Amino acid sequence: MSRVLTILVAMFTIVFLMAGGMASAYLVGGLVEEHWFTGASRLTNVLFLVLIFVMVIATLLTMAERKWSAFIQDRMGPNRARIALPGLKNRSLGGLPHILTDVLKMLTKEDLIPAAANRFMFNLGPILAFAPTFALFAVVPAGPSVQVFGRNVDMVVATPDFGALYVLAIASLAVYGTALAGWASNNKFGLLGGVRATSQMIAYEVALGLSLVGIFLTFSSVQFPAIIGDIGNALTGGTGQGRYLWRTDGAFDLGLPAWGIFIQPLGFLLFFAASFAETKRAPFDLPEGESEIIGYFVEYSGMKFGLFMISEFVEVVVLAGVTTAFFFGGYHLPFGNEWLANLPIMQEHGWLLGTILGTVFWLKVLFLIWVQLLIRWTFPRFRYDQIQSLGWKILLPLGLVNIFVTGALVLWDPSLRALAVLGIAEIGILVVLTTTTKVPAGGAHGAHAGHGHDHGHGHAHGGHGAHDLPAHAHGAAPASTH
Amino acid sequence: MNLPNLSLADFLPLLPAIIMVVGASILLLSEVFLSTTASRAYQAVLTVVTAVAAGAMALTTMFEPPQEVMLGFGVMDPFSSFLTFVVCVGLALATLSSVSFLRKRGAERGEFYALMLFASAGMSLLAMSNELITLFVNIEVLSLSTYALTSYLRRGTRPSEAGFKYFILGAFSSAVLLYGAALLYGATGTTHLTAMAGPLSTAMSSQPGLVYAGIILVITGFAFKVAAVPFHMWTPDVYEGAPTPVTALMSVGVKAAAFAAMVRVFFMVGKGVDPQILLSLFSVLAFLTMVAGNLLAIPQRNVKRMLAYSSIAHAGYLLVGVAALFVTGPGEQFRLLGASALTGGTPLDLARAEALRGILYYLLAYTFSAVGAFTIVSVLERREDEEKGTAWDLERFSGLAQRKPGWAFAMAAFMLSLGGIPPTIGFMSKLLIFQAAVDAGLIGLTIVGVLSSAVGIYYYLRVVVYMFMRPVPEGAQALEKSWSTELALVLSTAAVVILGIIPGPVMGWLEQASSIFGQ
Amino acid sequence: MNIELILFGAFALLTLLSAGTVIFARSPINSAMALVSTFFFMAGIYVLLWAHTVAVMQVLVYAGAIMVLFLFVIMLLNLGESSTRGKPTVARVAGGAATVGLFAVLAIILLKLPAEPATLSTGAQASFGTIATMGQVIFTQWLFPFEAVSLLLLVAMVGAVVVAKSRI
Repeated sequence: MSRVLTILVAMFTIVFLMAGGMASAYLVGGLVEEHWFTGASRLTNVLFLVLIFVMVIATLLTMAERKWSAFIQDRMGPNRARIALPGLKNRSLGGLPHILTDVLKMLTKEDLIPAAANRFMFNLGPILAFAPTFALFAVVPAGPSVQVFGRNVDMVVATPDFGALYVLAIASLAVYGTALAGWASNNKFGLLGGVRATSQMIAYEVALGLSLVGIFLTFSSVQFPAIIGDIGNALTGGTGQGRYLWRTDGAFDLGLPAWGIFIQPLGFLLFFAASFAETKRAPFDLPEGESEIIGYFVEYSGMKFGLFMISEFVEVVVLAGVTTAFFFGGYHLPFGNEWLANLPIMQEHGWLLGTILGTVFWLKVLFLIWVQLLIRWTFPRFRYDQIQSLGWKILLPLGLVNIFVTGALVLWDPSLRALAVLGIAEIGILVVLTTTTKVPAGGAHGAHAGHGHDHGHGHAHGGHGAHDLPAHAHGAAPASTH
Repeated sequence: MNLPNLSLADFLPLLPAIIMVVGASILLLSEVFLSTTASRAYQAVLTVVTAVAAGAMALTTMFEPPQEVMLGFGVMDPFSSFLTFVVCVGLALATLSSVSFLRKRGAERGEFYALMLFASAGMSLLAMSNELITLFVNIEVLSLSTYALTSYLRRGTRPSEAGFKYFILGAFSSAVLLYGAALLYGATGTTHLTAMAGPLSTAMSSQPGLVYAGIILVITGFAFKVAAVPFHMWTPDVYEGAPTPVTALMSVGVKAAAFAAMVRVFFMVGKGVDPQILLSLFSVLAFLTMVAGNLLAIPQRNVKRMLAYSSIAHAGYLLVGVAALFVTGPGEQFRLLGASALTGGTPLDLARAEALRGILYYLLAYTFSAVGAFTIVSVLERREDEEKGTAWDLERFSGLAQRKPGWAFAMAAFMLSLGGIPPTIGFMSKLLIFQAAVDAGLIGLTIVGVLSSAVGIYYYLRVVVYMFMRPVPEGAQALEKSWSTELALVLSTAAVVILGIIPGPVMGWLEQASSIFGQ
Repeated sequence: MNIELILFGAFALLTLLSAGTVIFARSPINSAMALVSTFFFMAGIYVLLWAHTVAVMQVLVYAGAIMVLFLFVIMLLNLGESSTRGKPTVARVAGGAATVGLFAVLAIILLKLPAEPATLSTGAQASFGTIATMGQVIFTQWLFPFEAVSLLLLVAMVGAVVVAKSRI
């Protein structure tokens, strides 16, 4: 019972902290808009959204991941670091002090540079790996644009005209850090990791771009604010993901919101799979491959290694944020959205609405982060050829099919309802398939089904490509490999 | 912003190219479902049918007045239609000659024919391009297809070398062309050829250097593509290393399309700048190309290489025709064959129309003669000799008249035609070109042309001498017959001889198309 | 001295520096990375020209995808530093002289251009260079070159497969 209570308290604390963060982001934004210059809130947004929210979540993730993997593997997880302060002595605090010790360890380790390494490139690697992931979050709106102190405050750093293309462009630059690190270390394992990273990047870059085209088509835009959309009121309906496909009449709105996940479930799966591959985390962690080659950062130590590690977690947060914006309605509530926004108190105090919806956004982000951790710790690594064939032979054709189907349906029914019917049917089929299929057969019914069966059985049977092994190797594989 | 609406009718003029692209796509897709051992005879048939359909489509549009297509980015006039027709003829003949060539090497694949079709579609579109960016993209379409085709068969080092050389130099020349086009755009502010003349004359007075640099770079780029001296170095190696049917297509199709684009660009540019500049530039190019091409061909014992040099020489004769386009005053007093049959317009227009007609007729003549000659070369070469240098040696032609009188007769006809000896189509075409040049007042260039083609007769006749006056060498292998090769030879020989004796029909076409060019 | 000019100067200088590094670097990886930064700074110049969509495409396609492929190939082949400084042969000297001459001629021509650029008519249109405008123009006015480019890409793909596949 006390454990449940602890968890509840922790969750409440998290929500409370996030709401506080958002509230201060809005209020500070309003203040600087008023006293400094128009557009100054964009600068404070850098501070609040990127430096505080993303960085803090990414830092906490280092711990959360260990704890969560421990839960999954039925272990306690790290609990040895203690703080010798009165009242906290001999308390593990859920392993939180380990974050501090990790940082201390990384900062105090010797910074080794191999003698045969290319020094310049070796030092450039971690920077190039870290900077792009960090810059990515700049275009993701974490909350609605509201009036604070009579000034308009946007909860986003930048709203460029090319919106989503910025994400794709910057995300594709991240691989240079990995590749350079692998190459500059002058280490065979490192080089292997770098080569794997580049080939994986190329294989998934195309699918990543194609998976988003469906979303662009349905919302006729590539810009985040337009895709997330505005909340409707009595006079005008909502736009983007802020509208409803079907809704009840009356003050409190209830209905099916036009979220990407409902109208583009296939696009979501493709995007999630492809971007997961770009974060280089298991089951796509071939560039790292800790059990076989250690990977591109094998020669790195200290904080340079730390940069690689933290950039991976930043990527997790950013991926969750981008996915939320594209497929989970951004900061919109699934229901009661218009009711809430049109309450007199919300109209009067814009920052209140912003805080609530901003907290909703971060909750969705946390949910998607949790999904990513879940996938990370339940699926074993792909084999190299499986990675390539998943990217080129499954995701890419499915992405093309998705574009054509979406385009045709949008043309036929611009209200997107036809698309939503198809989408819900797709979700239904996926659910039925994943729950009823005991031994998956070779077909690809959506990326997820293909996915699950690749990991689930990849290692047990020597994988998808087992047909090219001799028959006896088939049976022997489980015993010999794992 | 006013956005134009495109209707289906806008795409109709592109139909020849569309037909070829569709045919290529069918070939590519069919290959997906075929096993490696399946019969692929239908592929060549499909290619020929596609080429014939596209050529017929081009013919039907030949007598229509010039019209802008796709909002002025292309233009369909008798010039482009005729060139599309020439390209389709070349494609059909090269395809027919490639059937047995590929079968002997076990290399029949849909991709080969698909790339031939893509290349031809690019050539057809290039002939229609009326805008610099479109033009550049279409040049690349045909170039990329021919790069890939050049190294299609990769036995030994020769094809790889040829493909690589062609690719690198081709990419380089494309870059030069593009840079020149960018400078022209910078000077005029437009990429549309038809809109260029006005701004060009203004730019000529304000920033002449920019215009000169642009023109020279564009000419350089085109000179690479048509293999004009001194930008010809790649030609012999590439022509020799490529599969012979591909060489045939390359020598006729790429040349025809590149000349089409060059003529169109400089015809329009010539309206804006002093034509004297272009006249002198092209005269120098033509002079160098004719002389060097013919002289370099003389020592070649390798017939394929000799044909490569001869194709350089023919580019030189064509350049004489191009130079004649930029005549400033009509040289009426030198008119050789009486008044031109072309009626209407000023004497200046007449002289230009004559030059254009000469170029077009020459391209058709060269298509028949060169494809035929390369077909004979391809049936005589043996795949086991490809590694050695002797695969295309003159010795192979020894005694051909005794072994295959038909082939020997055909080859003799092609050689005479390439040499410009009556009564072949080659003679007629040279006559037309030189007539236009004389009418334009380019007497010196004409004399050089006639003299150098007299030199050329030496190495063309040498092949004939080997065929008819040398005994069959010991242990010569049996020559295989195949219906497609025979068909290609019969068709091109007939065309070479008949059109040489009765040039009327084609001349009639060219004259009916009263305004050859969308002037 | 306005901010645009300063930015242009910075981007231009960095572009030139990176482009120079591409040519003069001994190691192919350094060349490739310098090429990436060349593309990146060129994208900056595009932004100054109001072509921000082109700029982001430049980063996405060239810096982000094509150069990764370059890097992949270089790493896969494990190319070392090139040691071919080579002796000055006649062809090399002539080629170098021709290049320098061409460069000088072009530089003279470009220097002679009027110092004040023609007044740009695009300042009035806020929509210039946006992704929506570009899309509209590409799919209507510039449809012919656009379709020609799609044909070009198809041909390039088929050609690459033909050249790369097993020998026939």
